[in-house]
Amino acid sequence: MPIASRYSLVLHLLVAILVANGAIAQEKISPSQDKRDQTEQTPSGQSPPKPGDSEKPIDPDGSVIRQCVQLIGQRQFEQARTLAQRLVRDYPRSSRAYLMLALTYHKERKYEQAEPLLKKAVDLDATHHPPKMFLGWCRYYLGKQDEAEEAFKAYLPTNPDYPDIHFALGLIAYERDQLEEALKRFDKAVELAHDQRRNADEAKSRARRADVLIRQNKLEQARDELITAVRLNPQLYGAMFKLSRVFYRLGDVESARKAKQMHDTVREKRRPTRGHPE
Amino acid sequence: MNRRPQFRFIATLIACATVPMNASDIHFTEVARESGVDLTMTCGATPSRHILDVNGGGVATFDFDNDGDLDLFFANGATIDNPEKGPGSRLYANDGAGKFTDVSEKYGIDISHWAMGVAIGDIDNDGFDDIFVTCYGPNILLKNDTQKPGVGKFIDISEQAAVDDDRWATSAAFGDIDADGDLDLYVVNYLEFDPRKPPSREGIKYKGVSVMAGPHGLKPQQDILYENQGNGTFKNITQNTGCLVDQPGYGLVALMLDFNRDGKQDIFVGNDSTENFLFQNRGDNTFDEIGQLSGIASNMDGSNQATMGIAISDIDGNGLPDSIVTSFSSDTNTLHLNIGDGFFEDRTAQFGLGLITRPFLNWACAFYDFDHDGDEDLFMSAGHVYPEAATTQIDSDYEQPQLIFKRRDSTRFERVINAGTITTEKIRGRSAAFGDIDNDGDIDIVLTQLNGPVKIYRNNTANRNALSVELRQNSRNHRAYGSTIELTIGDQRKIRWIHGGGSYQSFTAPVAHFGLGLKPPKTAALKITWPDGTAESFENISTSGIVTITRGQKNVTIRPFKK
Repeated sequence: MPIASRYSLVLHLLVAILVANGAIAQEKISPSQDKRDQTEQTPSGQSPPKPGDSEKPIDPDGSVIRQCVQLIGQRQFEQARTLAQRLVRDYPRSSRAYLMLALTYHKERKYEQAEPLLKKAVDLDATHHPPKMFLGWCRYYLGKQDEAEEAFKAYLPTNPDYPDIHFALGLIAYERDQLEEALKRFDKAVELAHDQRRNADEAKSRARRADVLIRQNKLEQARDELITAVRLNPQLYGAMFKLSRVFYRLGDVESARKAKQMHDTVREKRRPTRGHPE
Repeated sequence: MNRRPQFRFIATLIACATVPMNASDIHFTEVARESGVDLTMTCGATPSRHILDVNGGGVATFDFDNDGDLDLFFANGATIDNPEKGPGSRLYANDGAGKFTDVSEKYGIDISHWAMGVAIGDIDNDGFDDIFVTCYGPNILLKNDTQKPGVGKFIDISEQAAVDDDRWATSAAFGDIDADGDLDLYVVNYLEFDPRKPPSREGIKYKGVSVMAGPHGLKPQQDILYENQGNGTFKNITQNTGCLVDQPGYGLVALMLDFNRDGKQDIFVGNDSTENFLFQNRGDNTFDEIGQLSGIASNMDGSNQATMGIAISDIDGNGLPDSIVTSFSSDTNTLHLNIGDGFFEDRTAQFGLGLITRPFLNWACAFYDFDHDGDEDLFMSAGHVYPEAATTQIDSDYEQPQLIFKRRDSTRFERVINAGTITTEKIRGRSAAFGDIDNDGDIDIVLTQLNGPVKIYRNNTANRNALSVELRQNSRNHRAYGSTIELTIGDQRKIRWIHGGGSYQSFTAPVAHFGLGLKPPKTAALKITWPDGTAESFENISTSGIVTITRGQKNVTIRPFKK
């Protein structure tokens, strides 16, 4: 696994531990991992909402969850699942236990299996908000646009300054060809990520903002947005590809070739070709 | 009759006349058996063990005997244990009303080795369509001498025509790339596969589930471009034309079409898990591969997709052919709009064809106005390659309903889920060909399954307002592949292309079909741009029936649809 990806995963999982433990109830993990959306998340500094106090803490010393998280990091999902299932068995009313189990599927991109577990986690504790966000992404990846939006919007009031929630709603608006709404959402995501110095988040939101601009045939603006995105996150190969497309359309063939070359190099490093079709 | 029932009757009539058409207007009935097609396709073992087992067989709709109706050809496969001896490809003759008779033996169809796909074209300009069959093993060219006195059969001329390449070919497309009046041939090859040493499944996983190997890790094969020599033989010109690429793809489909409307036939090749190719014809028998440059090689993020099928339509009404390519599950199919100046843009999301297709693995595809409301809808066959596929395991089922999208308005498609068993029954859909097989004016669908019975979906649309247009050229490229047909009706202009290839491993009869809405004007105008760029216009064409236009003849023939 490339170093950047490993680093990112470690961060996500670290946060996952904290979330699942109830130490924080914040959405610092990136649930969006679709191949069309390069999503890089880092913890932000905003104050998290308080976790629901209706629930007893699970796994008091954190050992089970830590082990579970390690196994997910090593892509040993079955073993991680066994541990998470034990948590669910021991704490059948725990939203966090269900979230942990759901993550073992979510990280394996088995969204159909993760979805009901996340729904259960939401139902068990409406004040435990992270599952709502994950539920939104699960549904998004399953093609359930309306239900994804519903989950994202349920999460939004609990953490309105979280850039990824606006990013997600922007994607759905874009899918629906609601360009002004998409632009508004991506603008907000860019603004929040910028204020919170979350470069990777800002980059991906700018890249998607550029998609809207391209649709509106505002190619120069799109080019500038993509250049900024790539500067903020030099790993964002999807933006490099789009940049090359925009350069071509603007007639700048040399820059287009360079951007494409950059895309090919970074992409091969970050997502080397593997089995069919992953 | 008392007054109340009479009032109800009148009210019903008024309601029928005024109710706008909606998604439920697209409806099909499965009629394969009652049509006389009781054929189960073969392609490897069930459940599939290797990548050779998963492609399924192709189908063609074409009029081999020139009797005015669409006959059927099925490219049937075999098994890895005995790739030379499968149940055999089949030819069915249509009685004109959509009833078929198996005439394979009568007309000398004797192919028992592993057939994959089919392309149709009149290679010798004798006015009868010949059959090219792509195979795992030597490809086959069958010359249509069925109506020739003293012969009465298809004759296998593969070897003498020099098109019997024995690599694993999937699809093929005919088209006149050098504008010399005869049909050239592009053959799409997939990968190297030795049944004696099939690749190991060891360690191959998809979403954590152990699956068969490939295509990554297996060696892709170069495609072949053949030039028709005009004497019954073909010459492999791949190397000298720019079609020999540095990195071949895992080819599954090709379509020949003039994408930039410069009067020359280009070649669009869909590759599995590798970038798609667009060979732009320079007009001197050479091509530039501009897939990446044009933007059609991948989706908007630059991801190479598992392209299975291709369909074209003028989605945005700018007179240029746009394309959709079908793809793997947990990915979206990709709609590329042809925005001119040699560029394509991924507009999948804009038209509502993105997220909604993620649970499906799609193969064959085509745009047709299935409900005759005036715009083209979309069909995509569906079914997974992995027998292990289950929604609970990899977010996608092994057997899937077929997908139909109705064009809702100028910017969106909407999935139709109540079009009959076609959209509800879960099967292993693969190749599909299209056409009005019962001559009633609407487009029916012939679908093959992987190791399952052929399906024929008869279109039940109530709106009969449609026009079909066939083209003829005497003595050269007689079905006029490479022509453009523009229909002007009222203030609307619609465009269709006559081309070879597309869908997936299949061939669809080159007939342009126009749905005309609920109350069309009685006449329309047609402009035909023939393959060499010459244009002819026809006014006051009656807006119902099958119009046949022969180049250079001002009088068109119109056959009425059957009731």
